[in-house]
Formats: sequence, structure tokens, C-alpha cells
Amino acid sequence: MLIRIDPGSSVPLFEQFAASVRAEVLRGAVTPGERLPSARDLAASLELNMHTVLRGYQLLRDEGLIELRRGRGAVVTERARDYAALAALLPTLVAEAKRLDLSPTALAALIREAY
Amino acid sequence: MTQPRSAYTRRQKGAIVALAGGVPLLLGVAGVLLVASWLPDLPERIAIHWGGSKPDGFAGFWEIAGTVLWLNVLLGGVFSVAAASLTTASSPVRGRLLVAAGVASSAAVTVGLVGTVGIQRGGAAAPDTLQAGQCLLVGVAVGLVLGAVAFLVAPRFERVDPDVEPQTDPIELSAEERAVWTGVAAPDRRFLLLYAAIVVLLVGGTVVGAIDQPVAVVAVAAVLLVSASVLRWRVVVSRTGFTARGLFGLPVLRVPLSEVEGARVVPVEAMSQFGGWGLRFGGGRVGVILRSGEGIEVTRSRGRAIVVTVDDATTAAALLNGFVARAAA
Repeated sequence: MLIRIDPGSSVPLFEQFAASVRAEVLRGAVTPGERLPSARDLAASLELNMHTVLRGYQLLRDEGLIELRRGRGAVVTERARDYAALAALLPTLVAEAKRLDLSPTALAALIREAY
Repeated sequence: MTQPRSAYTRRQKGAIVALAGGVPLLLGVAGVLLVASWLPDLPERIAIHWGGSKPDGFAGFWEIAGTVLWLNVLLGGVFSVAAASLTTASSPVRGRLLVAAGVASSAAVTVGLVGTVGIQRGGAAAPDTLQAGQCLLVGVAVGLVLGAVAFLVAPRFERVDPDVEPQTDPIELSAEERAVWTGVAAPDRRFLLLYAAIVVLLVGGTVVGAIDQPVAVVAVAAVLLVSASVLRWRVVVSRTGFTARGLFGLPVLRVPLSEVEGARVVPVEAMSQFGGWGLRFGGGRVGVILRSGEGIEVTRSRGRAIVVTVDDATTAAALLNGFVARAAA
């Protein structure tokens, strides 16, 4: 699981963290049942506050993508499997947006509108 | 990713397999023929087993012939199968060692068995335990000598290095960017089955009482604990470098970023390159080997390269190279 954080970005750090984990689930680099590293270890590696990582994990828990259990850490749920169909759609979406010279923000805005 | 090419040409490998399997078979047949030629001189009941100072087990010609043949077929089979599984990455010495081991064990068994029969020729009294033991010792000695000869005459050839994979292209990291890659190195089914079998044997032995000495029980517990600690590894690539940590936090393999020379994805064959699974040494590298297949290889400025069989090794290697490139910039 690769996590990248850009401190210069306007996106909050915990959201960047959650987005990274989500992207790795979509990529299949993280599989259901897998235990993710502890928030403390990740915080140390990423030079983040542990609460930032925990907040990112909580966001993913609210999405149903992971379960947080005391003593067991973060475990990826079965729901991760359901992301496969979504993952398959993304390249088409992105390719089409690129063809139209749309920025990622513009594409995101379109998706938000469509909800 | 390419699989390793076979370093042994077909003919060379064929010769190794034939020697490892064929010599024991020939020795077996020769032993049987020799015993058969002694048949008129042999007693009806030939001593084959000794207890105390006297023989306590006897057999006829066919049983002895069967035993000699069967043992040699078994030995030849084991060593030729082992020789057939040699690959490129196996050191060239391994093939010669297999031939030598096959020849040595077969010669020892055959000479020992046939020898004990031989000294019973011509109506001599059944040999006592000491004489039988001497025959077995002679067998071992002959085995060692023939094994050494086999090692010297077995086909030898230059090692062909497996295709060298280039260093993985680095992930580009901006100066401020933070990144981490984590993965888990876990055993494949073959290894798990093998491990489970060993656990069942050891635990079963303790429960049934075959292993009942306190020291042995402690040893069993220690073996289980130590072997379990290398069953699952957490692998981390971060700004500080490369770390692989065992199940209980120990053992730890760590390469500080400043010592990382580069990382690449390499094909791993557990048996032929590292001689098995677990924390291994092979080909001048340290390996955390839990399956065959792709792994990450980290070369370092100090000490041996480290190989870990982990999924998504490409990303791990790319990130590590990214950190190295950024540190150098």
C-alpha cells in the first residue's frame, strides 16, 4: 500500500491520507481482511500527527471500507471487493475528461453535481 | 518480469539427473547380481538383522535382492527428482553435490548390505554383530570415497547469472512530499502446508508422549516460536529506508536510506536459490523467502543484498529508488 501526502496541497492532510488508501483499495494493492499498519507507525513514517492518520482511518471507517477495532487496528472490509466495478469505470471517466482538457477539480465538480 | 533461464543446458541437466538416478540403480543391480553369483555358497537363511551380539533376523535371497534394489531405486529417485528441480540460479556445485550424495548413499547402503551377505559365504558361521557393523562401516567408507569421486567427475559448468533486472524506475517525489509503502510478506500454500505438517508432528509427538523429556518439550516450544516469528513480515519503505520486521517484531532487517544503493524486482525461486523458506541465505544475499515469485531486492553499500518475497514489489522498489534519488538531488 502506497501512501503519498503533499503538504503543499490545499486538500486537508487526513483527506489526502484517506484518498491514498482508497486509491490503493481500488488498485487492488489492499485486499479484504488485510490489516493495515497502525496509525502510530504510519504517522511516524509520514511525519504526520497520529490524530491526522486516525481521522483519515475514521473517514474510511464511516465509508465502510475498513473496520477499526481496539487492539486489532484497521482491517479492510469485504466492501473493498465492491470497489472493483467502480475502479473499472474510472479510467474511462478520466480519459474522457483529459480529452476535454478538464482539470481534476472540474471533473470532481461534475461528479459532485451529478450526485 | 522474466523467469530465470535455465543455466543448465538440457544435456547437462539430463546428465546430472541420469547420474543421480542411474548410478544408484546400477549399483543396486550390480549388488543383486553379486549376491546371486554367491548363491551356491550361501546358507539358506542369511542373517540380515542383529540384536545383542547375535543375528536375530534372517532372510532368503529374494528378500535381500528386493531390499537392495528397492533402497537404491528410492535413493536414485530422490536424488534424480532433486536434480530435475535444479534451475539456473542453483549454484553449479549443487548439481555435482546431488550426484555425489546419491552415489555415496547408494554405495554405502549397497556395500554394507552386500558385504554382510558376502561374509556368510562358504558355510562360515553367521557373523556376529561386530562383524556386521564392520561391514556397514566399510560401506560408509566406500560410499564416501565413491561420492568424492562422483563429485569430481560429475559434469561441471559455468554459472549463468539469471537475467539481471534493471533497477526499478523511481517514483518522482517533490521535495516536500511524504510517502510510505507498506506490505506484508506472507507464506504461500505450499509453505503453510509444510509448516502445518511440522507443527502437527512436533505437537502430536509431545501430546502422544514420544517427546516427553522436559528439555525436548522446551526445545519444541522454542522451535515453534522461532519458526512462527519468520512466518509473516511487515515490510516498510519510508523516508528512513527499508525495513522488514518479523511477526513478533523480531527479527528485523533494516537498511537505512543512506546505505541503499538501489532496489529492483527479482524473480525468486525459494528452493533452488535459497534452499527453502523463512529467513535464508543464498547466493550472497539475505532472503525473507515465504514463496516463489516476484520479490524486492535491495542492494546496499554495506553488507549483503536483501531479498523479500512480497506482493507489489514494483511499487515498493520504485518508492525506495524515489527516496534515494531525492536524497541524492
